[in-house]
Amino acid sequence: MAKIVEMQGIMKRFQYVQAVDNGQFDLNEGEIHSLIGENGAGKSTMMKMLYGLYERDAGQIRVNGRDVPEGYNTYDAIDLEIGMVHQEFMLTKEMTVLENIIIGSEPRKRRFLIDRDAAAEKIRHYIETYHMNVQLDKKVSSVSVGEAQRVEIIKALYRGARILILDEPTAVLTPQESEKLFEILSMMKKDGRSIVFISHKLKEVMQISDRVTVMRAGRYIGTVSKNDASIPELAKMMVGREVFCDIKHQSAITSEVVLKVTDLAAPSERELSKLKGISFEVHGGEILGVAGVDGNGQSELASVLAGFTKADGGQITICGTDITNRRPGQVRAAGLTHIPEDRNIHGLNKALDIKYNLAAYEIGDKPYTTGGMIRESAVIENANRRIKKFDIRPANGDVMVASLSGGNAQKVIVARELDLNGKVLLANQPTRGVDIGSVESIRSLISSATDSGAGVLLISADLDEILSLADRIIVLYEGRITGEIINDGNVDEMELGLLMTGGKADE
Amino acid sequence: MSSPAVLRRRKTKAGDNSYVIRFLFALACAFVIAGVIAALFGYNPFEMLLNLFRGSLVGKLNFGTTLEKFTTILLLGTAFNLGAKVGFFNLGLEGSLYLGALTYAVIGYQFPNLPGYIYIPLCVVSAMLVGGLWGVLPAVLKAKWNVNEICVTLLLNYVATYFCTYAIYYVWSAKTSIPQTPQLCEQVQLPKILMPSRANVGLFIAAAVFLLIVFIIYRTPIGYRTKAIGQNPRFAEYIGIDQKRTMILTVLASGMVAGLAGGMEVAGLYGRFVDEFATGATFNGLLASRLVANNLLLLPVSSFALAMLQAGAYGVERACGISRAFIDCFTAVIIMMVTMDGLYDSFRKGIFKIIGRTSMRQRKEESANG
Repeated sequence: MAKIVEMQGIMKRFQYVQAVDNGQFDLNEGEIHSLIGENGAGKSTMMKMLYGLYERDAGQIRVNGRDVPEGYNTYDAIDLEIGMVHQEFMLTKEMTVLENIIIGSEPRKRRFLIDRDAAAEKIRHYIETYHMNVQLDKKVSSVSVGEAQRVEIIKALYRGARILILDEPTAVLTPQESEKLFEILSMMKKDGRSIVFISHKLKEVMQISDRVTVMRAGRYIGTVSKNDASIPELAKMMVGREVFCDIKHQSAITSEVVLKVTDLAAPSERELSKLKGISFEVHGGEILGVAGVDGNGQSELASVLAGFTKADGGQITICGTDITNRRPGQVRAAGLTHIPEDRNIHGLNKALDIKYNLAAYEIGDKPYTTGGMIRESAVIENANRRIKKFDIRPANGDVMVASLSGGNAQKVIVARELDLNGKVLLANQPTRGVDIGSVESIRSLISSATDSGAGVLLISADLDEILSLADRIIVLYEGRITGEIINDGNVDEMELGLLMTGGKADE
Repeated sequence: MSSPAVLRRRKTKAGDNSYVIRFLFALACAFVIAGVIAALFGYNPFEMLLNLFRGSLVGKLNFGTTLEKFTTILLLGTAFNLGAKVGFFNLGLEGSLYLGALTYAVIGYQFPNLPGYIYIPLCVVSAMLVGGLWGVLPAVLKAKWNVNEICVTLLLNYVATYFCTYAIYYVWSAKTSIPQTPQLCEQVQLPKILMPSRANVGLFIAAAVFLLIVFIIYRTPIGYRTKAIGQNPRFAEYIGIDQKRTMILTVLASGMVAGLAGGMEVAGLYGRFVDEFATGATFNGLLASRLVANNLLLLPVSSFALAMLQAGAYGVERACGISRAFIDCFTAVIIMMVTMDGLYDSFRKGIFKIIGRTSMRQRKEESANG
């Protein structure tokens, strides 16, 4: 088999981190090659250099046996028949599927008009070849996540891609949708196309790849053929040690209801994500997991609970105190602590260092402020204590949070919020984009948060996380709760998957 | 790791040090460009530069004039900066300044028998209050109904200016041939320093106010919260800071400082309210603050630089016969250079490399055509 891509000695530095350090990768014609590693291992960065989105600092990239030159960019990559499906979709929501696919390379008729029929015909060819279920005249804003992903794949194919890079394609899919995607990928492989599959879910990787390349901390660790690999072995290569992410949560659930949500309705930009009247209770010491595919109202739920947006209806109480439509400060005063969905947007003030982020909520109180003046010594003392307790690295409160790795940045938030000992912890995607070592410790910290009798509402798109932590699971689908499951350790993932798609198994 | 490269390529703003380098680099660029233009017009650029410095720094009159300008620009820069800290683009400084000035002028001629140690604080506090209350109007509108502050502040400037003009023609007119208020009482006029220039002890008041605000912003929880809103409003919301209240209070302070600037001009320079004495005040404040990327600690540097340019312009006009308007153009060039965020980065990367970045396809086409 011919090597159609070879990357060697690749270096790439961002402002604070060496994202790729002597990276290496090759791709045979007609294979599915998985590129795995933890978040921040440099997988996406490597592939973005292959796709011409980033310029490499050093190293050699050969496509079809020819070196790509300096200043190589995405136009060149498309010329070389490379296509990429990004983790976040690059689609224009207000345009139709067809328009999204052809945008930028529209077939013309009479020079100035778009030849929609020719475009549709060309696209239909791909749809039929790979049995993809896509409706061309729908607006992208109204298609499901799985369908949007297929649109992205067609977009790449339409531009002639024979090398397809998929960046964590299953992160947003239900188990059923993932299966469907794998079928499409195998058909494309049979067709002679080559696929780079970026992931950190080892089960899937073992299922579909021919070869697997492992990266860790920006470095190339090794490439193994699927037949010679096993999941524990790959995990060890990825992390550099044995890992146990399955924290088993054990807690004493009290009879006190710490969080009560009744008939909650909340607005959203998208119809699907509007909360349409949901009710649930969280008891002291309990972890209630909220499962669901991203975009089914999870963000809206968190946003309304935290007081960022106003509810359209319904009621929220924390330990009997009505906090419906209160400001975030008042909600916090009532006992809510919050690990937000996006640490970079809500969770951290990147203009500040670790110590001032750690003290952010209590900054105006003693001992941080006395006589109207901030006492830096108290802020430092607090920071040192929390850094030690929560194992934040580097252990130096003066380091700017902007320079921290995802895992340590997240730990700053977890440290600040858990140390407040609130009555309710709202943890929204607490381990998203975090390295496995930190996932382990953040999960066990969340688990231990219930020791003091606090209730936890754990919103996560990661089913493993919910299954390992939650006492009870509710599933959100299109802004409604489609089911509730007691997590007794024998939950059927397929059943959960069904609830996540509204109980229908058609996709 | 997932947003497209084009969005990430812009460098994030690093620490203050790199900013100083950028500032100096931009300044150097501006001097080169202005020098070339001056040479094209047949002037000697070195002579121009020399006289710019001499005209702003050497001699009591020249240095005093610089200090006089510096006082006002520092206050207005502080005022603009406070607004910027909470994401409020305060273009209404002029309105606050005029009304503060009018307040000082009007109260300042009413009570000839009041002792200065009561009278001056009375005038100052009133000027600040009026300036602040006027300035806070758009902030309230923004907090309540999300009205864009840029339009409102700009337009309210006209209202304030015309009201002042009306007031000095009719209500509090000195009834002289030119529109102005009566002379201030002796005891509320600020003593001059560095005669014969118009510099006055308002400089020290401005410096004290500036230091007080620096202290509040950098050393108190109020400052912490205020900054947090500007640094990351979503974080501020999340951590429970009452953004609307903080914004309104900060803009109130901003208006108060602008009002004070007006009061100082009346008390120190003119001794009365003179019609339209401070046109363009808002922009001086805006420029001073923007020149140092809204870094409050560096504000005195940019304020002084702007003051030097304005004061030095007279010197250049006198010594080389170059019109002051030319120096104003020069100021504009400096501002353009300094506010070009990517200037220094692209210089370091090599300008030619950037210009030379065309796609392989384009190059292929070019070689095919050529």
